[in-house]
Formats: sequence, C-alpha cells, structure tokens
Amino acid sequence: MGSNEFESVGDLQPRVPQDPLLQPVGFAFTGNASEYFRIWIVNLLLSIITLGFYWPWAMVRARRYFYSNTHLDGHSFDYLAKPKNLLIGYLIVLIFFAIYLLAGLFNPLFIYPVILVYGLAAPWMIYKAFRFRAKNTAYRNVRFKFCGNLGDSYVTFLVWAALIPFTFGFILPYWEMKKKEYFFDNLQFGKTFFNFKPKAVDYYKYYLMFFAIGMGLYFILIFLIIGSAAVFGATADTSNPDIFADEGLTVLMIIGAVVGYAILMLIGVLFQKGLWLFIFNYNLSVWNLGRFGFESKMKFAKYVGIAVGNMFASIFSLGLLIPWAKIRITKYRMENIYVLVPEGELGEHFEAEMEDEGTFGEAATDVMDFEVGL
Amino acid sequence: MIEFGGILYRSGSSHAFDAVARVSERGSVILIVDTDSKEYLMSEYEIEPKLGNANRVIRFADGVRFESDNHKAMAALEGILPSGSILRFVHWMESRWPVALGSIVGVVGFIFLFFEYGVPLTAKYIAFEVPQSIRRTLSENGLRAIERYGSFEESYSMRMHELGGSAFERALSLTSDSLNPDFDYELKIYESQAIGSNAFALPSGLVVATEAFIELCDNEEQMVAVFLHEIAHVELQHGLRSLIKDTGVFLMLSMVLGDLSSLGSIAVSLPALAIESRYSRNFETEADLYAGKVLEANGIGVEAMKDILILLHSDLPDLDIAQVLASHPNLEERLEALDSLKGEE
Repeated sequence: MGSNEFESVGDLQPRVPQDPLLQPVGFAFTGNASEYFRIWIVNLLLSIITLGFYWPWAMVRARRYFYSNTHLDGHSFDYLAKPKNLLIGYLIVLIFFAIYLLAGLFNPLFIYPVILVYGLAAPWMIYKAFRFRAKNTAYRNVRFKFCGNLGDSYVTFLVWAALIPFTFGFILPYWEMKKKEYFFDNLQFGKTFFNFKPKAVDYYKYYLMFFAIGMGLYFILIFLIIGSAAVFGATADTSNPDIFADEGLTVLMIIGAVVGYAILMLIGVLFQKGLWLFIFNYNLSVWNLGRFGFESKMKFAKYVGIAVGNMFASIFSLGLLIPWAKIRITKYRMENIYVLVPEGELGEHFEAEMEDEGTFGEAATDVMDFEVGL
Repeated sequence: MIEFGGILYRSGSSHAFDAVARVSERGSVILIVDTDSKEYLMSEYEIEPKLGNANRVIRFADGVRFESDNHKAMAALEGILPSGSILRFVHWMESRWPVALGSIVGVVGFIFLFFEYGVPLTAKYIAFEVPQSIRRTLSENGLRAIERYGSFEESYSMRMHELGGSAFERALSLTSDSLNPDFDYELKIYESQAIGSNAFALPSGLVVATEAFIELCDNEEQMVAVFLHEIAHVELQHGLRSLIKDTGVFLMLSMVLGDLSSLGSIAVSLPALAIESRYSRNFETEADLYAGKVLEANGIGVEAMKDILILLHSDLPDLDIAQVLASHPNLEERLEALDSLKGEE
C-alpha cells in the first residue's frame, strides 16, 4: 500500500526530505589528491607535447577517475565516452574558434556573422552535449538518458535568452530555472524518469537575497575606495602635477590595486559559489527519480570556505594544487548528497532501455560533447 | 589458470550478482553465476584501462559488466592478451611519483621552449607569408581604431609635411638597396594631443609620425634615425609577428588553464600580458640596432639616434615599478646597445 501512495504523489509533488519513511543513503567519494595529482600532471604533459591532441584522452581519464571513485550504496559510477567522439567535438570547436579569430583579423565587423552562427548553433550543441553526457554515464550497468527535444533547447537557450535584455534582466532567475528544468526534468535512468518541479518563486527568493547582499557589499566597497582615495589625495604632494614622478605613491597605488582586485575576486567567489549552493540544494529537494528523492546537506559557510581556499591555493601554487582542490570540493559535495530511499534495497530493480543494450564497442557513436556548465 | 571473484550485472538490469571469472590460457573468459556459466572469446570482451586504484571493469559484447577489485588477477589477464593498450603505459607513468615530478619539469620546460622559440619562429614564418593586401587591410583597420579614440587627425601643416617627408625619403634612400619590395612605404603625419610626440609603423609599410615629434627633433638626422627604426619594424614585420604571437599565446594559455581549472579568464590574461610585452621589448632593441647600423654605415653616426631617444624619453620617463610590464626597454639599456655598435667599426 505504502508504495502505491508514493507512486501517486511522485509525479506531482516534490518529495519532502523529512519524510520519516525515507532513508537517506549517502554517496561516497574515494578519490585522493596524491593519486589524482599524478593522473593530472601526466595528462597535462601528454596534452601539451601532442599540441592538444591527447586532450580528449586526458579528459576521459580524468572524468573516469571521478566517476569510478564515486560510490552509491557500494556501487561505483561509469563514464563510458570514447575519446574519439570527444576529439570530433573538440576539433569542431577549434575550427570554429579559428574562423572567429581569422574573421576578426580581416575585418572586426566580420566577427558578428560568426557570433550569429554560433548563437544559432549553441542550443543544438547544448542538446547534443546533454545527450552525450547522459548516455555515457552509467550506474550498475544502467545508462542515463537525456530525452529532452531540440525544439525545447531552442526555446530555452535562444528565445528565453533573447528576452533578457527586453525585461531588464528581470527574467534571469526564471531563465536559470528553465535551463535547469530542461536538463533535470528530461533525464532518465534506464526506463525510469526523473521529475524536476521547481517553483519560480523560490528561485526569485534566492536571487533577490543574493542581489541585495551583492549591492550592499558593492556600496561598502565603493565607500572604502572613495574614502581611501580622499586620504591619499590629502597626503599627496599636489605641487607636483605629474603624480607618476612620485615613485612611492605609484608603489602604493599598485599595492592598492592588487589588494582591491583580491577583495573583488573574493566577493565574486562568495557570491557565485554561494548562490550556486543555495540553488543546488533547492534543486535536489525538488528532484526525484520515481520513488526516490534527493537531498543535499551542504552548508554555505563550509562550501564557500572550501571554494575560497581552493582559489587561493590554486593561484599561489601556480596551478599545482588544482588537482587537490578538485578532489577536496568533490569529496565535500559527494559526502553531503543523499538519495532518499523509501524502503528495501536501493537500485536493485532498475531496468535499462533496450536500445541501450551493450555498452561495448560502437554502441555509443554520438559525435558531440562540449563542456556546458550545469 | 586465473580465477577471481567479482560483481556481475546482466544486460538491461541493475541487479548485481556475485560471480566468478575463469580465464583460459587462450584468453577466453568464462563467467560463472551460481550454476550458470557462459564463455566469451577474446574478441568478445573489453577491459577498461587501469586508472588509479579503482575497481577493474570488463565489458562483454552481450552487455554484461563484470567488476572486480582483484588487481593482481586482472593484471595477469591483461598479460595473456596479445596487444596492450598505450594507456597501460600511461597508467605506468601515473603510478610513479618520480615520473609525476619529472612531468612537472617537462611541462615547465615545454612551455618555456614553446613560448621562447616555438611561437616566435612560427609567427616569423607566417608573418612574411601573409599577402600584402591583407597587411594593408590590417594596417588601415589599426589606424582607424586609433582614430576612433578621438583627437587624432591628419595634419594640414605644409611645413610639417615638408620636414617629415624629406627626412622619410632620406631614410628610405639610405636603405633602398636592402628594402623588401613587398611593402608600400608611406608617411602620414598626424596632429595629436592624444599620443604626444610619437612615431609608429604599421605592417603594410605605413609610418605615422605626430607633429609634436617632428617639432621635438633638433635636426633632420634625428628624424631619419627614428624613421629608420620604424622601417626596421616593417622590414622585420614586428607588428604582424607580435599579433600572431599574442594570438598563439592566448590560445595556448586558454587551452591549458581554461580547461584544467576554473580560475577563469583573470589568471589567463595576466601572464599573457607579461610575455607579450617582453616580445616587443626584444623587437625595440632589434629595430634600434637596425637603425644604428644604417646610421653608422652612412656616416651619420648613432649619436643622432641616442639624442632623439633622450629627447623622447624626457617626454615619458621610466618608472622602475612599471619596467616589467613596459613595452619599451629602458633608456639606459637602449643607449648601451647603440654604443656597442660603435665598437664594431
């Protein structure tokens, strides 16, 4: 009886995480920085000595490392993409970029048609990328599938995007929601559909909150800059019209600019990562896979702390700590995401789509994969 | 015979079974679940390349997935198979710290060689292969871009055109026997509050001087010296080479950094700026020496060049702090380089 209740509710309403009948089952991440660093640096070396042509193989190895070290209920994930398929997408992007650069060299006006073509092709590329990425992700020998259609991609990424300037950016949160909806609501695990039912009101709530905080910080910063400029102005030697002649002042100005830049970056990261986290936690709470729900227990302070630490560590180690940073943030994410399982065992009874039979050989010959931020 | 346990998933279902894999000497694999068993030939399965310490996975042609943490047995199975993937060698590299540390050295070394020799040589080769019609388009676009900044208009002063024109003709005649016929040399004089006393060259052979510059010169020889410097930029195609180099540096950095980190474009633009400005400093010295040699050979002497450099410099002083990012080498370095030419005589 209980299971029938869940099924009838499942399609209409997001699962309430506090539901006492749902048991949270956590993800585990077993990747470690020492191992990944070596994979990363070898990837980097081989990519540059082959002038970039090893990149698809490097990409597959890096992704496989993260997938195969992500476990749910003791079973790991699979990344099944073939490097050759990535290479084709990579070459298309490269050729496009070369055309863009050459067009700009001949005449700066020539880049506009190129940008236009790119804008028209982008929804198609996003659609292809989603399909490719989903199809090449598997858990317990069952592949994911993206079943969204191309028309919706154009509506989401072109029509809605085109409306942004006319609405003075007011539909931006709504657009963000539509983008997430296009991906999360059109995902399948084998034959089972995911449901994603966010409310626009909630998206606006988070965006307005961060907009208010951002404006507040912005005004405080402006106030500080004007204040410090006034102090400088009072102490500077105004009898010399050439302010650059005073080297001490120049040094101070450069230090000031660097510190100001660092603070701006810090605020940027706080803002970007913080908003991402709130939206992400919310998204998981309104997402379900049949009878299964999701929950994220990531905390704002902890997550942003890791993100800021990662940024400074990556910069001051001249990039050498990037692998460590990636492992650290992935571990935190994975260990704070839960699948809410109604009863019995997790994942034992999923059926795969029959057309997906076999992950061997050339079953997956879709040609495109582009990096699209989700 | 190799035999090891693992987890098996049949095609089309997420249900996991405990299973045993038995490998024959000829490389076929028999999968056993309870009393059920099936044999697969060597061509009917694929082993995923080893990666870190993650469990090993074998995929079978009928969609079965077999996963095992028995690394020893899997290595033995791979030993039987005739052809090893190149990725096995990659894994060998990845599992050794000395190789990883060597890779850091390799990456840094390669980047150094690439920027120091690879990019400049490629840019040099391409720059001279570019048709003159494209150089002309580029130069016109460049000039138009400067004009758009405002208060930069062509001079109407006859006196300026006479003074500048005669010095320019003289500079060209001094080098006439070595000039590349591809370039269309032309002098344009601008009245400019925007850029002060200045002269610059564009890839097609177009040389631009400002009225303030012409007035700054004490005599024609000084003007000739600067025009020779600009002709050198054209003859050696410094402008186009810089442009091609910058594009290469930008592409390379955004490829390497952009993909491997989420640091964004901030981290990309700073190093590019520093590398790019060092290129043009080398070019300035090269152009100085070209001009200096012509001046020495024609009995005018490098003094004219040195004098005008000092005069130009008084308009725009050196700042130690800005030296790293400055596009011109500092005055003392330039004067010393010119003095070294006198010793060669």
